[in-house]
Amino acid sequence: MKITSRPILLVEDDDVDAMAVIRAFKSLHITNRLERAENGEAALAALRDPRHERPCLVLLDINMPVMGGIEFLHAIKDDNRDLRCIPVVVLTTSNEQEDKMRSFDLGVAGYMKKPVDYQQFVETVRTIDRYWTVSEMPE
Amino acid sequence: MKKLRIETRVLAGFTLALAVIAAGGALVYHAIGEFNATSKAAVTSREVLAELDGTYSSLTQAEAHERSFLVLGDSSDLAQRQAAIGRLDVHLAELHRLIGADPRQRSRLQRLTGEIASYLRLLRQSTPVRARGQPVRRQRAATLPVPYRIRHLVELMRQTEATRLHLRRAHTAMRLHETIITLVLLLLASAASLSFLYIGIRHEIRDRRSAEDALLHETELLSQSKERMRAVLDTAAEAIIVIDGDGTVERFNASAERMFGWSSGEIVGQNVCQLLPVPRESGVRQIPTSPALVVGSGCETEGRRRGGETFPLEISVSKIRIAGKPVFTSVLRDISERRRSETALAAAMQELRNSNEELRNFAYVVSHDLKAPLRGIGSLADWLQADYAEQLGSEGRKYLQLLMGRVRRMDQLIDGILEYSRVGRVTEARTYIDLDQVVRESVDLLVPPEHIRIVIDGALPSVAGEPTRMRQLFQNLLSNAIKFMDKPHGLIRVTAHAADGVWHFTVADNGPGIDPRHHEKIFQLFQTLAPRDRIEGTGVGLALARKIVELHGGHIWVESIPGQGSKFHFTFPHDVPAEMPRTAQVP
Repeated sequence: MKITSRPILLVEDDDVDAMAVIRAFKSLHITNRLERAENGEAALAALRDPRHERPCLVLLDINMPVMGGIEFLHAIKDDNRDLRCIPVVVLTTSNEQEDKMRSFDLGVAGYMKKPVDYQQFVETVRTIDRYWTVSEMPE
Repeated sequence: MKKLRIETRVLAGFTLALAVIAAGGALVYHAIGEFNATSKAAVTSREVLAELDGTYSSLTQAEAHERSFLVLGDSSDLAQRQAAIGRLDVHLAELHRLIGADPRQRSRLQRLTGEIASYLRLLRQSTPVRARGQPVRRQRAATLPVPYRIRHLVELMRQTEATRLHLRRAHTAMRLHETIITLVLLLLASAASLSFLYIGIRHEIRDRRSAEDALLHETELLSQSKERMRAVLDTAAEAIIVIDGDGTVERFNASAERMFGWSSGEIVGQNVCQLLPVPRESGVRQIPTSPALVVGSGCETEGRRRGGETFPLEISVSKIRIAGKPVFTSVLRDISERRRSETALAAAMQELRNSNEELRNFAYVVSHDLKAPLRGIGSLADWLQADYAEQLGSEGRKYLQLLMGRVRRMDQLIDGILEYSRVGRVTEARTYIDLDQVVRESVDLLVPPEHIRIVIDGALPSVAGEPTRMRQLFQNLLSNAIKFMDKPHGLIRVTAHAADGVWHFTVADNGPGIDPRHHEKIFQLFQTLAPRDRIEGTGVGLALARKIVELHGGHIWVESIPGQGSKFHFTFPHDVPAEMPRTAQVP
């Protein structure tokens, strides 16, 4: 990651998937603090909390209870606190064309499918890390 | 127009004839008048001549008796002389009356009267002498004869009168001649005009008779065609109502009677509103005079039967003009049955949509809710193997490997289901796809092993379709051929040719072939012939291929001799099937 001092927000309802991300971060030596919100609403609350440190990247699942990923993207797009400047990478099971189109329409920085094979999943996370090591991101 | 002209002509002919006759009459009248006048004048002239003769003879008689008296002294002669003088006076008076206004004759007559008077005076002078007994001398007696002047005057007057009589006669003869000529001419003219009139009338009669004949013929034809029309109307399966411009029913055929429950006699003359109460159709022109009527075809509206029950009907109205008046022919079809089936169809469609929606939801649920736990299992198995390899031992590690393999297979199955359900549900924009390029790309993508050769026979055509699906189709067929190849020199051949309005494609291989009893089964979902542990396969590929081909309006089938290879045939129509969506649709 280009910025290692700021946390990465993982919005994910599945515990094992969250564990997979944590495990992949560990094995790839990604040092950023990983925060987790169980759904879009919790993530939004965290981002809007002024005492909360602003993350440098959001990893977003689409299919979640209470508030899904698409709804969350709508919310931050309409938000006036520059939340839309935070890069969001969708990390999901959904291969639906509709989800992809909506996500990019709402300004996501990437759309990754979670492979069923963990080793492949690690490779996906590695790609994300590499990209955001090279790519600039807003401070 | 023609009638007027004929009447004018007849009138003109008669007028002409009448004019000719009137002119002739006038001429004859005039001629007769003139004749009368001339005859009267002639009579007068003749009388004048007679009177002149009388005058002269009376005078000579008077003179003769005078002389006789003078010579013989017989007093009877005196009496006779007096009688002659009396006749002379009568003649003169008569002459005065007859001569009239003619100035020349009148002055002559006056002179004559004067001369006679003086002559008579002379005669009277001699008479008294003889009466006193003195003989009259002979020489004196010699002076007595009627003087020359009197004779001359009488002669002149005779001549004048005779000449006048002659002239009058000549004039009358000439007039008569002229009158006759004019009369003949007039008669000729009248005959000519009457002939002309006769010919005209005759011609007209002939024309009228032929027109009447034609009319009769046409009337017959008309009645025939009327009969025919009635027969057509009454045997027509559709209800036909003919309405005039005000919406009054003129005709009501047998089918219409059955449809509405009214008889023709009851409804003809009534307003059509009774049958078609409320026009529901909009967007078609309404006839202002009868709001119940709309001109158009295939409009749907409501009809009312005799009992008041309404029913849906389809109405086609066409407008024609008969003798300048609009007449509307309406063909009506009771569409209650169609409406019922439409409703049933709509319900079935809704059901289908619902089940499609369910399927879609199912696919979504499968993709998310089944994949997430599956991925969890896979991840945990992986971590167990990585973190607890020592404790598991070789048997435990093998089990975990198998577990992870099954997870992958299940993942592929879910992907297969999703892909299969996506075909036809998620559609792409239809474009012309260069299949030559598609097949070459697919071959590159599949990376066939060294011992398998893929040959494309000639250039493949371009067809209209969904690009992704076309790619999937060829990839599935080619990958199957590669996957099952059992020969040391594999050969896969792709060909295409045009046949009977379709493109016929063949993907042939020299692989193991397929037993004919499986030829139908292989196209069904999840049907595989090889155990999945030996050859990885989901049983989705050929089902997907069939779905794609059929979605594009074609057919797919297999031809195979076990041990020698398989030929997969499929067709695409040259024309794009109508049911194929023309725009991209993202649900």
